[in-house]
Amino acid sequence: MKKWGELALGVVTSIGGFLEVGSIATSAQGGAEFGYQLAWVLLLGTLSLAILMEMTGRLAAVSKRTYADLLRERFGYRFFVLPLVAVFVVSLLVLTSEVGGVSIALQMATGVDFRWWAIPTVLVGWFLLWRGNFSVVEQGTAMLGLVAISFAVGALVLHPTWPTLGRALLPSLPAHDRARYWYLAISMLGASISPYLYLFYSAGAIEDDWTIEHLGVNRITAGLGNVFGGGLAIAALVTAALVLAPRGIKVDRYEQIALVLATPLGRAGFVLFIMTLFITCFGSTLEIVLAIAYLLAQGFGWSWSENLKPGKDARFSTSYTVLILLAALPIVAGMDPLSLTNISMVVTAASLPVTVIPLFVLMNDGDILNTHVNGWASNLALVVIALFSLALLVAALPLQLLGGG
Amino acid sequence: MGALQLVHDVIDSQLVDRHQEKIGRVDELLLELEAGKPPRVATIVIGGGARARRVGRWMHACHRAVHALFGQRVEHESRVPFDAVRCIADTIELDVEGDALDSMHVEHWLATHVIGRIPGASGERK
Amino acid sequence: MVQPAASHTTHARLALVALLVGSACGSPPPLDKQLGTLASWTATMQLAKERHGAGAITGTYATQLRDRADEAFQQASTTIGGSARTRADSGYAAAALDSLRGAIRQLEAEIGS
Repeated sequence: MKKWGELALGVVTSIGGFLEVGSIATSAQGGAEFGYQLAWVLLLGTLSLAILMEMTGRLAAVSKRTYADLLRERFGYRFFVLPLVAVFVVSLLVLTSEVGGVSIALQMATGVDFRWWAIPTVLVGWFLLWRGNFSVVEQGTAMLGLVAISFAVGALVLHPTWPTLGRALLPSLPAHDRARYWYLAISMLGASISPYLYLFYSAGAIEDDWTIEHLGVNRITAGLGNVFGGGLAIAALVTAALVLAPRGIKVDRYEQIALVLATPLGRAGFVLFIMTLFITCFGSTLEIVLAIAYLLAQGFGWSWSENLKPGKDARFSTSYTVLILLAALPIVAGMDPLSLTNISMVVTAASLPVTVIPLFVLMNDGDILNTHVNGWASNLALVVIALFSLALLVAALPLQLLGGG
Repeated sequence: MGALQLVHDVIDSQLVDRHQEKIGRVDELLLELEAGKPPRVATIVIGGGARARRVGRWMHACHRAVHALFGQRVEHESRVPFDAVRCIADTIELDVEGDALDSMHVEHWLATHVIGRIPGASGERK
Repeated sequence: MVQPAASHTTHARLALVALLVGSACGSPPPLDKQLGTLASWTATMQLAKERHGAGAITGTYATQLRDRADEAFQQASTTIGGSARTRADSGYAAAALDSLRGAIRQLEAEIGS
């Protein structure tokens, strides 16, 4: 019985966790400018994330160590510095975007300029991390994150043409604005496949004391949860495709995105959009700051856990405190949240090789995984992901320059 | 009597003290070289300076500069005799008192002066 | 056969440098793009007016949209002159700015009422 509960919870966490400021912004931009056409990118991103998460979850459950632990232990400190710095910088950028998302949501609700909301947001977030244990953080944001289903409702009310949408799930080439198309594609991939997601998931497996018995739960959580979550991102794209694209509206500011739900669902849609933006971004804020703190603590061997009182893991708690406060600064300074988001998505995409390629090595290490090493299919999938992550690294800068709005 | 794989199983492994508390990782190993005797693994080094040195001299210089910024001239490094190793498995258990280690200086300083000053910090588990 | 290969690479290098310099210096975006942005905000204002009328969005929020449209208008009016090369282009630019200005006024009227 308990297993079913854990399973449901895990799936719910992934659904709520998938949508956040990056997915909302990039899906909306993609839908507004190219209709359904970029849906295949979300499908690709979703499947890749599901595969990566299942693997880091399996690592933790079998070896009793997180992916960050193993990055240090199996590759040595000299190599570890590379993913450490890359993930730290990239995740911090995404973190500031999420704080921006929460701030914009509060601005839309109250009329008070978003810059005023950054500090209250991070203070409340800090307080939840300080007092709450891992279950509270994980489950709280998961349950509330279900509000993102409003995108699916909005999309259905708009009566999408299913055959066209179905075809859009297959890769296609753009008829116009090639650079912009591929730029949006790369940012959507960066929004879907974020290293903090599978690093956090791996640490979460240890916080929740997963064992070999949880491998099935792991597969379903990572698989189903992300597929549902990806479905919501596709729904967001569809709403933008059906509300914004026909009117020639491009998303230049976050505020415009609320219209995609205010149109099919009226006032309820408007309120649900603000709630979705607020909750998903707030949840991601907590998740990302913990992911960075976990990475530091695990890499350097400090004590760490959201289930310990802060005094027991002082370096870990100091880390998340400093990080979350830092994240408010660019927003307080008035940096445009949408530009911040777009850049952080592309940078995320470019950073993927340093955490995807080492995973390939670890998933085939019998010393850590015993009989649970990758089979040929998993390896093939991982190689494909690794290859296109290298392509993203190469393409990122040119596309940012040529297609970056 | 099996052979111990130093690089595979010791270096960079998680260390825990006699209370199973995490006290860092094996950042460096020192061999004892005495004339006429075979080299033997003598010391486990725990500390940021040792880590930085492994990356390169430039990294170590940066590390010292950051410490100077915080007004620290002495590096808080711990050298634990290899004899203190009790068990080598997923983690390496040392028969030491974690709180007594120099390398835990920052942890204790933060716990006392920063984290400890904020209400709700003390206790065991949440 | 050395010469054609060298000029191909040189062209590519020059293009990249031009691109970098261009984005660094902030040269005005091409006219098409600016017209598209103006049309986008005009349509946003029109949708916002309709949605406000239907009670779907709050006046507070509609005002924020209006402010953003205003910023886009201000920015476009300063840079569009640089992008419009011909009389016809200037005509399009003027028309686009007018449309946006008009749509902003209509939304303001809608919110005010």
